[in-house]
Amino acid sequence: MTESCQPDLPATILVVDDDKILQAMLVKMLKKDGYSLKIAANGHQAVLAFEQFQPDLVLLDAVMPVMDGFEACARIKTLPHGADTPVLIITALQDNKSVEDAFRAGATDFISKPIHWAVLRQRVRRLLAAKRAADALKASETLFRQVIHSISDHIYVTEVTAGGKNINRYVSPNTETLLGYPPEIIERDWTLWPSQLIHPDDRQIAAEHARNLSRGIDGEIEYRMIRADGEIIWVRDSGRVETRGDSKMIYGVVGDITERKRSEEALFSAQKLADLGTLAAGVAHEINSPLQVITGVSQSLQRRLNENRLEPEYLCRKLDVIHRNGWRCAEIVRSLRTYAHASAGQMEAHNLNEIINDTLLLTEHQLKNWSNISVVTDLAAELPLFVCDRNQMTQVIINLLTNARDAMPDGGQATLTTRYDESARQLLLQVSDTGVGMTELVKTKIFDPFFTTKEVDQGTGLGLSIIAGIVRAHSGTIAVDSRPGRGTTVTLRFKHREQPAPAGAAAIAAGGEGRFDDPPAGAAVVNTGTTQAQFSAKGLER
Amino acid sequence: MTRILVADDQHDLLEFLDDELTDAGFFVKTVDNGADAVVFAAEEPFDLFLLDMLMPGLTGIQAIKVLRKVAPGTPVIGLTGYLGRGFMAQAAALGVTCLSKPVEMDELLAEIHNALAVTSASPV
Repeated sequence: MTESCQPDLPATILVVDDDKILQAMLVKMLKKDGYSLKIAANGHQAVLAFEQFQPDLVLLDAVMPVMDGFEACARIKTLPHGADTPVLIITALQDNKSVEDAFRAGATDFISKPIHWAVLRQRVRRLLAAKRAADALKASETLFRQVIHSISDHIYVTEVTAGGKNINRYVSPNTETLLGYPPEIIERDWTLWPSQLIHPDDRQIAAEHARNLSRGIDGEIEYRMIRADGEIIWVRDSGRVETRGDSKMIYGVVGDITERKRSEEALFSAQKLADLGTLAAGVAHEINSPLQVITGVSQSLQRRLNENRLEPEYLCRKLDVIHRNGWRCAEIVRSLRTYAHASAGQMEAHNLNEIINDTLLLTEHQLKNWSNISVVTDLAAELPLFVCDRNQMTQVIINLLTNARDAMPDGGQATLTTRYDESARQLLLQVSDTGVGMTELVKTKIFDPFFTTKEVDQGTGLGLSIIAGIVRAHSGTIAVDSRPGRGTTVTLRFKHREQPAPAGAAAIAAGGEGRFDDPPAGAAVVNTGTTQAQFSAKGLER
Repeated sequence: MTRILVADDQHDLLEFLDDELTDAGFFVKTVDNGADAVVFAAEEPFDLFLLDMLMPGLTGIQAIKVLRKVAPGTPVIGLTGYLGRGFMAQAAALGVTCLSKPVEMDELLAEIHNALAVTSASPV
């Protein structure tokens, strides 16, 4: 940044002339105008004085001994600040060649002798004003450059032209820290980011995000990237669009969220263990009852055979009982196997109703018999396949049912509903209970990690915060409607994604009119894009 | 004849227990839910209650508490497919032994004879 030419200090002018009389006149006149003056008698002195004083303007006589004005000008221009400092050449030489020489040497302007004083004063004022404006612009640019450098996020500006062409207008230098690639490489080739740097599994959702931006829809997204050193990092890319004539300018920030993702995964595992506990209890109960029948009946048959009192008709009937109960165990193990097999993060097309039924197979009996809760399902007859992580969806259902159970200590009814809203292309999954409901205060905290209303050892307090994470990872929203004594309804909505991605990604209207009911008044809607902290602070306010 | 009331919501299991206990010389009455168990216990005298701890109508602990009022002094044996530690402690505090499914018939019969012997020996 240039320190000179600050508005509260008088501008410094270096006057260079070997003619003592003219020099004195210039000094006298300019002093009267309030400038601070430095003097040199030839080109050589001028160069030295420039280095020492760093003036805001140089008035340079063309013809001088030792070193003439043209050479002095050329030298000054190579010095620090020289290029930014205007040089006004004063000359009696008015032939074309001299004028050309002046400009070739880097002079900003020239004025001819004899000097017309009013013209000179005006030139000086104008050149200094231009210098001030240029300095201010440079200072401002430097300031913003420093601000951008101090932000660890990668900042980009991309122009989408009327013809749909993408041009990178700016790529911040921090890109190198984030990805290990110099910004020039990314700036030069727009396709590098989407086609090489984004993790192959996330390119599809990133492309959809990019399409939304090019249609003028702001948004943010989380995806994985591959650094130059091969390390995989998680980033959050949020973009804002501004329409400028026929083209669109996308202003984006990409931040490293790998640490957050790692702690989320750790929390996820903790809650998964808790949910597995619920699952294990269900499995133990579900399997042990038929096992009691199988072991007991087979033993009884053996005894009757030994005692020679086994009727064929009785045997037949009892073998059928054993057979049936054996298959019951097999069915339970099968549903468990789908939970165990699907590896984490595996996104595949599933029927949501089927996931619900499999989950209920393991948990319904427990809910019904242990806690006197009836589970009612109201599942849509026709549901398109849903691309999801089956494990995570099972966990979501178990968790919401467990919450429903805990909200109904005296028993009640839990209802699971699925719907498909064709116009909005949304899948809806709703879990409602007839339990104690929540106060407004509780409702504002339910998505906070470790917040729990349950007794010690009864809950980790992580359930809903992780559910919110899972829903967000599936580009869904959570709405919670609850009033004390009136029960709670949790509504999840998911964008229906075909596999592979729909050509041109059909517009997805959020909150469109649908066949299912809109969230009731007072429903809290959590947008997938908001951060965890915003969930509780804003998302759940009425 | 010693009278046992058996309650379990799984009909195959109920039928099995009916067969085996009848075979062992008991008079057996079966019901498939906790509420019916309480109704029968109030209407007829029984020497022992054998209850599944997870049944519709009443939870196991609730059922034990009601049966204690309806038929004080009658021993209760619980059967369950899954027991949480807290649940075990609650049942034990009410003087109820819980057996985990699957249980050997011999073990169940031994437990029944044991409970009946304790009751008949007590002055109540």
